[in-house]
Amino acid sequence: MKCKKSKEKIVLYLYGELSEKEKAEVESHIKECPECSRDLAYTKKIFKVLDEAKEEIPEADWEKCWGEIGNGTEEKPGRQKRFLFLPQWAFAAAAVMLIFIAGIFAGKYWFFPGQKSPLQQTVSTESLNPLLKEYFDSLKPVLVEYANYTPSEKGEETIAMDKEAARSLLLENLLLRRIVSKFDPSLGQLLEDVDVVLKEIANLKKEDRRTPSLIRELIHQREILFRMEILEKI
Amino acid sequence: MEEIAAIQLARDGNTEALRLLFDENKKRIFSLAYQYVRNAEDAEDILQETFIKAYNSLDKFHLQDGASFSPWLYRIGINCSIDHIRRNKRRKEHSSQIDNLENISSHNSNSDPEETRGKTEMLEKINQTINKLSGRQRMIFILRHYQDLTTKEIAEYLSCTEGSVKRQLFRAVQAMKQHLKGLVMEKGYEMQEV
Repeated sequence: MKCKKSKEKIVLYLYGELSEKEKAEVESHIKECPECSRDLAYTKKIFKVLDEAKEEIPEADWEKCWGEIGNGTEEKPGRQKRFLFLPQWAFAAAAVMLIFIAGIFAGKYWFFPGQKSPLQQTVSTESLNPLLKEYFDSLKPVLVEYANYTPSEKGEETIAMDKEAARSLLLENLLLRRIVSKFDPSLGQLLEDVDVVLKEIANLKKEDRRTPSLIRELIHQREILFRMEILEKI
Repeated sequence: MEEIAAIQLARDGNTEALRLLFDENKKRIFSLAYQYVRNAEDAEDILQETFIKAYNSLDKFHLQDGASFSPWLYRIGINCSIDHIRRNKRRKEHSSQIDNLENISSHNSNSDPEETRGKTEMLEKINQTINKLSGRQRMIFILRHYQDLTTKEIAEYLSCTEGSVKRQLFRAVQAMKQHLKGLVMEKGYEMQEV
């Protein structure tokens, strides 16, 4: 074992992080190498100093903390209530969208009587394709913008526009999700992930500089754009 | 009350359930934050921020995956601590030193003044060294050395590889060894052959 490697392993040795084999290798090297032996002794001393200077954790003012938590959480009650913060026009838009979707299924049955009725026929991704495409077309620019977000590029006005767009997309997402989740779990999961991202955008605050980066990470981590692309190609 | 039930109730805005989750986890989060920022006032801020963030994200916590609440909350606590340092870097360096000196003096009011001074000096030097570490390196060191987490657990919390944690930990310990060298020698910690 080389000394450089040994010095790295000495730290892990003292933390008890080495396997039996690695431990034996370090011990054998130390016996032969005075420099590493001194390094081990010195690292042990440093650990001792750190332990001796370890501070007692003081008791926090738990009631004060709890009070502050109460103040910080009362404005944002759970998921359902957050949904109610949406403007009235949003509910109207949701109703129009629902009628539109219902119209597509009714029309298909009316004009193609040979086909099974919507009650007999399970809704398929195929029948939703035009809607999904339209939805993805509106969604993609918003997601791409956040996927490529770099700090300090968003002004107050842009954030306000993004929030408005996200709220409108959230409603469409909700309706689509309700329909597709029963027959296409992977699409349902994708829409659920999109829902999380859109909620973050819809709740953005101009002073919160970290959230856009988190949204970017979320889009990348969950591979949302990539999954959308795959679905569009199928 | 079961943890799962408490989480479900807290999601619906039940304050008692949230209080229960707070009481069960407050000490662990506070101790992590305190060791990281080195002063009680900032650690209290981090504790509050952690719970507010957790409450606002409760709907993202997946109960059905068998996930446990405490590690999820602990991860939020880690992120809040790192963010807090980033936000208050300059202010913190000054105040934490004063805070620590006050803590030492109050903890050791009955002990030998010489010993107290020596410990204060040592702690000040340790704090200075810890403050010089990057946020992530500092967190890794605190999690391993003071919170007794394994490098594997740290890697999971910080969403990185175990190898990266080990490298950062080694660098943090090296920094400690380098910065504390003079003081260790001065205090008569003579070297020993193994």
